[in-house]
Parts: sequence; structure tokens; C-alpha cells
Amino acid sequence: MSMRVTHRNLTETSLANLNTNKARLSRFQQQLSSGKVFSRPSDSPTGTSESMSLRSQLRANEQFSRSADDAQAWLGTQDTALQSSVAALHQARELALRGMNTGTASPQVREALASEISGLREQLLGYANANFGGRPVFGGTTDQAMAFSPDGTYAGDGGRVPRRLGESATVRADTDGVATFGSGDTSVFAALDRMAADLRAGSTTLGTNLTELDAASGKVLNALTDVGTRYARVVQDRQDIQDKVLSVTALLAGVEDIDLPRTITELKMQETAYQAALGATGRVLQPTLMDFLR
Amino acid sequence: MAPDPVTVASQVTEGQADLHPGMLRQGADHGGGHGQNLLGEPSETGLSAQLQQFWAAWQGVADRPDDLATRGQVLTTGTSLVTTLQDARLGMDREWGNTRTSMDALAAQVSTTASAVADLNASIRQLAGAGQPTNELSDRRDTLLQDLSSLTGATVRPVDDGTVDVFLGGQPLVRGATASVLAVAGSTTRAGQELDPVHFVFASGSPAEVPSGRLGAMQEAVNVTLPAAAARFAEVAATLATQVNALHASGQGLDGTSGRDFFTYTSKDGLAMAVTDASQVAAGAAGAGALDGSSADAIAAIGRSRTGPDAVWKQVVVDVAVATQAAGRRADIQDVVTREVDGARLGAAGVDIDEEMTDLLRFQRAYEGAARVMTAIDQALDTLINRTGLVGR
Repeated sequence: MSMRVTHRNLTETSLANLNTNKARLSRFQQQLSSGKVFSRPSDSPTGTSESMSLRSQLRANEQFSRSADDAQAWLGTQDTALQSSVAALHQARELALRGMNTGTASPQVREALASEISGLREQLLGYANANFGGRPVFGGTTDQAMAFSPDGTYAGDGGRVPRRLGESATVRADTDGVATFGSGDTSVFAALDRMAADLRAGSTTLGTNLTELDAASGKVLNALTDVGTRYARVVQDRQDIQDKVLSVTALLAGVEDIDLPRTITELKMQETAYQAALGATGRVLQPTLMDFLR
Repeated sequence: MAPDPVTVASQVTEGQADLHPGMLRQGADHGGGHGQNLLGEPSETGLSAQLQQFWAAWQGVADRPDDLATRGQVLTTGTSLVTTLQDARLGMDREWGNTRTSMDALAAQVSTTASAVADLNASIRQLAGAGQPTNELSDRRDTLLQDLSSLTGATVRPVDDGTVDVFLGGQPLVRGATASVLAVAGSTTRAGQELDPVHFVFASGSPAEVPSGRLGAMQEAVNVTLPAAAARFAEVAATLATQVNALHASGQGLDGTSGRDFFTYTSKDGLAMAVTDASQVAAGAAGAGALDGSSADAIAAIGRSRTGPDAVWKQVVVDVAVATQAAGRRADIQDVVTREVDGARLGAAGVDIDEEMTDLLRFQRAYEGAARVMTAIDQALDTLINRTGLVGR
């Protein structure tokens, strides 16, 4: 005997199937209106996990990019200061040479040369105290406004100022003030002071002074090269970080965002299926034997 | 409907089939559904986004330890983390409390239903004894039994005199005309649950067991699912506090003081901020230069750690997601099973209009046939009475 099918059976089954269809329809509709494949973690646990990882990578890289901007600004400030310092030291060297050649020059001329050198020393001190955002870029981690006091003594603390450009990559954003300009007696400022004094006095030790100045200039030049190298690296890393941000964003979109044409097609198909189910239900539920017995 | 044991059995089958998806849905709702809503992931505003903002703020302090506004950012993002985690904790407490209250209401409903079944048992026994039909009363009792079954997973045993006994686990809830009163006992707060789990007792004092059904699912929610979920949330908060504090204490603030905690965490009160002044944020390593940022850099690195709070949180989200998905699937499967069983029951017990109409026609025809017989007899009698013996009249 075949299974007994009552009208209640038909109604219940139709209703259940209609509900299933409607649930599917609503899922596609939700995807389409939100633009996201999943809106709750249970929709796709793996997708959620991936999306969380990518989002945190994105945030981290955005922060690395900000740090790289900061490092670039620090190094840029040092670059400018060191370039100007090198130029000033060149000028001082020329003045010194002139003083040596015109060893017999009048005291007035020597005085003029000496005061020019003193002026250059003050300029140099200004460059050595260059600051970014209120912090002296050659002063390490000091909270003072100056890296060098007016007498040429180092006032910084020699600490390092690193900037994080990646999970395991940092770059030093400052430059060691002592290694660049020296400190106290051995500083480039003291060398210039001695040179100016010797010029004024007409001393014959100008040659030694010049060697001393050349050695100091060499240190500044080394620092400039070093800053330039680091600057180039930061620029490159910054580019890499921004590329990474773009690629992670693309990956995130791939994980989270819907495939629009596909979702629309599926929604349309589901709509058709729903309509068919409605039509079939309407047809099946209407007639009973009563409709045919008159 | 006839009160035969087969019908009762089919009713009960339906009841039990009904309770499983209900129970699983309930379980999914308590364990995952609501927990899942508390997660708020994946989004730009959920806990993981807030954690990332927190770490980014620390990296910012590593870059600008001198800037009070940047330091303040750490406090702001830290406070929002505390708020979110504490809200989740309170949300769990509320959820627990609501479920516990609903359990009391449902236990009362079970007791009233059981006593109604007992009353019907008494009436049915009386009527059946007097040889009266009990169909209507049996139908009413069947509906109540179905309710009981889906609430508690109770089992029903028909007795010869027309009554039914209802059992919860092994204990009788209804026996003939007497019903027991079910009550919920145990802790009324989530905090007290561990020492005093929520359980059931009869008014007589003997312990009761609710094997399944909505009430059973709720018991599991308050004793297992919700405490487990709350523990996972607490783990995130504890990891955050421990790891940040360890590094923070080894660093120094702008005032040169080190050894300060950034968060306070206790399992009783949860997470709170310990540092409230931006200058006390320990950005530098102790003993380093005044504007050192290495401590802040190290704290920011917690966000990328595989054992940090972010990783713990991600695991929580994924675990809840998988559990919810699995529960949802089981419920879907059970829905199909229920539909099959319901279909079979409706097929066996339901009314079919076509069938009734055919029967109606059959009886109508039979009636017509019977009426025709009457007419035939009438005609024969008429012939006998009125037409006979009239010869020669």
C-alpha cells in the first residue's frame, strides 16, 4: 500500500520547502546588500580567521608606514643639516687656506678671516642642533632642546632612536651627535675655535689645525653618507610597505567581498526557484475532491 | 481520536523529534548565537580592531614619546578595550541571569502541565471505567504530553486503565492522578555557579533530572556553555593584562618611575585601567634616555605575537564560529528528521478531505440505497394492503 498523504502533509511539506527557499533567498540578498560574503563568524569560520589576520596585517602595515614617514622626516632633517654642515666646513677650510697663504697678511685681514670662521662655527652649531618636532635629531633620546651646548659640548644622551618599518625591521632615525661632530675639546667646534684663535694670533700651527679640521669634516661627511644610505632604505621600505598595504587590501577584498556577477546570478536563480515553489504550492493546495463534485 | 497506545506512542515520538532541533537551536543560541553576537567580528569596530588600534597607539608612542597627545592615545584606546571586554563580561552575566530566570518560569510551566495531565488522567479513568468515550480528553492530554516532552524530554508510559505515567529520566513526574512539582535549585548568579551548579528538585525534596528538551538545554547553557564562553573572554582580558603589564612595569614613564602596571585584572572584577595619567605611560626602557621609546615598541609587538591577546581572541572567534556552524548544521539535519517523523504521523493520523469526501459519498449512496429499500418495502406493503382482496368490490 502506498503511503497515505493527507492535505496536512502537503501543506506542511510545501511550507517547509518554501521556508528553505526563502532562507536561501535572504542569504543571497544579505550578501548582495552588504557586499560581504559573510556577516557572522559562523557563516565562514576560515574566512573570518583569514579576514582577522589580514585586517591586523593591514593595521600593522599602516602603522609601519606612519613610522616610515616619521623616520623619513628625521633623516631628511639630518640630511639637510649635514649637507649644510659639509658646505660650511668647506668654506672654513678655504678661509683657513687663505689665512695660511697670506701668512704675511695684515692683522686686519686675518681678523676678518677669523671672525668669518667664528661665524661659520656658530652656523655649524645651529646645524648640529637641528630639530624635528621639538627634538634635536643629533641628541639621541634626550628631552633637552639642544644636542650641543653653545661651548660645543655634547648635551644629548647618546641613546638610539629606532623606527619600526616591519615586524623585524627597524631603522635608526637619529645620528650619533658625538660620532658626527665630536664633543668638547675634540669637537669640530673646538677645532674651528682654535683655528680662529690661531689666525688672530698669526700662529704657525695652522697646518695642524687644518689636519684637525679635515679629520672632523671627514666624520661629518661619513655621517652624511650614512644618513643618505638610511634615507634611501627608508624610502624603499616605505614603498614596500605601501605595496604590501595594497596587496593585503586586495587579499582582504578577495576573502570578504562578494563576486558581484555571480551573486546576482545566484540571487536571480534563487528568485526563480522561489517563484516556481510558490506556483507549485498554489496549484497543489487548491483543489480537493469537493471542487469536482457538483 | 481513539486513545490507543499506538497513538500515544506516535504523539510522543513527535514530541521527542520536536525537542531535538529545539534543543540544538537553543544550544546554538546560547553557546554560539548570542556569544557570536557579543563577538562583533569581523568588523572595523570589533575587539580585534580595537586591539589593533591599541597596538598602533603604542607604536605611535614609540615614535613620539615626548608628545602627551600621542601618549593619551594609548590611554583612550586602552580604555575602549577595557569597556568592550567589561561589556562582554556583563553581557555574559546578563545572559546567564536571563536564562536562569527563564528556567524558573519553564519549571513552573512543567509543573502546571504535569498537574493538568494528572487531572485528565483521573477524568479519563473515571469515564473509561463507566464505558464512556474518552476521545476528546485523550486528545487534550496528548497535546499536553507533547508540550511536556519538548520542554523536558519526558517519556510517557501508557497504563491499562487508560491513564499514562510520565517520567523524567527515571523519576515519575506524573503517576496516575498525582503529579510532582518541579523546581530549579542552585546558584542564581553566574559567579556562584561553579560552587553551586544549577540543578532540578521535586517539591518533595528528591533530586530531579531533566534529560533534554528546552529546560535541559538551558541547564546545559547555564552550567557549561555560558561559563565556558565567559572563561574564554576572561582569558583574552587576562592575557592582555599580563603581557602588557610585564613590559610596562619594566619601562619608565616621563617622570622616570618604573614598575607601574598598565591594567589591573582580577577574575572577580575583570579588567580595569591602572594608568590614568599620560605621563605615567612607560614608553622607555628603565634607565634609558628620557625620550626612549623601546618599551612602547616592545608592547606594540605583543599585537604581532602568536601567543598574544590578539591570537587568543582570534581563536575564541574561530572556535565559537565553528561550534555555532556545527550546531546549526545538526539542527538543520534534525529539522529534516523531524519533518519526516511529523509527515509520517500526519499521514497516519491526519484528516484528508478527499478521503472524507469519498467516505461521505459512500455513506450518502448507502443511505440512498437503504432509503430505496424502504421505498421498495413500502411499495410492496402498499400493494398488499391497498391492492389485495379487492376482487369483486
